[in-house]
Amino acid sequence: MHHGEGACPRVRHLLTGTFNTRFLHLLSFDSLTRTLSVLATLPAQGPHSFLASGRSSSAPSGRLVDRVYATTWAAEKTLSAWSINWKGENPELQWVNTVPITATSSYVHVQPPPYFSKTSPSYGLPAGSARYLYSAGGPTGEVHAIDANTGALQEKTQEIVFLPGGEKDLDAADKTRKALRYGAHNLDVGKGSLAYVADL
Amino acid sequence: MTYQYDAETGLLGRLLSETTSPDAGDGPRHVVPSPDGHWVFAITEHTSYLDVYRQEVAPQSLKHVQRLSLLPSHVPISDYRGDTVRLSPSGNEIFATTRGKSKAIKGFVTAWKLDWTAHLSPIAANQEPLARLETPTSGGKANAIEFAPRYTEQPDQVVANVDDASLKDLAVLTDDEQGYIYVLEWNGSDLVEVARTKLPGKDEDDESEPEKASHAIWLS
Repeated sequence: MHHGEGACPRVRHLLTGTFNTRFLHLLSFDSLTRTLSVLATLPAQGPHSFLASGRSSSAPSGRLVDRVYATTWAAEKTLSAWSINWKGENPELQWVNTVPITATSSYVHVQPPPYFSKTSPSYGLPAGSARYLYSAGGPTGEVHAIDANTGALQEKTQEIVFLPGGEKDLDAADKTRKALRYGAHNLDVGKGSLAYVADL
Repeated sequence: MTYQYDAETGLLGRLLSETTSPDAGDGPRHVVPSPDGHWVFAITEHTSYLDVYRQEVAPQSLKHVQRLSLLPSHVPISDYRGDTVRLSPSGNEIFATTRGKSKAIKGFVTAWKLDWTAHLSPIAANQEPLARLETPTSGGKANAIEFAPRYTEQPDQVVANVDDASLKDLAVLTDDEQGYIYVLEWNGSDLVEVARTKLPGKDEDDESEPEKASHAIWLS
């Protein structure tokens, strides 16, 4: 059995958010020595509770991911964009921008996905440069345009209210992370031109 | 909820259907579609079930066809909170995670075999899991799993080996209780931990608590 040697890099990189600090951590996994290490700690807009990967139109050949999108668990309800510079020995992350959203988001989802996969992030859909970011949490879900080159989050193009009473109930609704315990939790797109939202 | 989706505008259209989870207290918290679009898988937060729905068309609806528990038979359902659901990169298995409600209760990652040729459900009725890994801690609010992308000769097109069942896959699992990040390896029948590390920091408000991992993704 093998990991598809030849193209598979020896060192794989990961990024994690936390629930209780304003940092993102870049990690590396060495598949030969089977060791996992924290490479860098980055001040962020977090705590970032969920991350999604993306790919820009200027991504270097051979790199599947060069953009990251993050939700936050903090009192400020925002989504953030990060870019990855792959030129050096290790990837370098740089914050791009942050946009406000109506209610704390639980999960985020990028379309088109950065690479083809039967599972997340693509669910069988074709890959491409990131154009839209989907977020859902509690009473609302939002769609933001993404700049295909810089990866920056742009204007909100859609807001969906999941409350039974609709928009008229939005003002009074809980929009903090507490609402994630009983409201909308994820928004993902699948084949057949369908988008799915889990709502507790 | 299932919405019409327009890939060109990126907008969600009409709400096509609302599907209710089988039991009132379930709390479906994560739903993912199959790569062929014929099935939807959901995990319930309050009852730790993996539910399988078949896609019906014209009109669109999701029909519940299968329910399987993530938990071993001897544990109380009320001790756990279901979390994430993911297919494996080959698409041959489905993984779901659940978290222990307290530090005394460890979470689980459970995997089932999928048979896409089956008509009624890709998971056979009462099918035993392929694997169940008890996580080192409760997982806290996390125990979130993500698989690493597979590579081919042309990294821009991760397609050629995506069906290869002989490949091993890597996955990352996050721990919100003690701040661990784990790398797991799946070989088609066993899920094993191959590496771990701990986040370096402390809770911003309480230095006696560790920095706690939420969700991790693979960048390469």
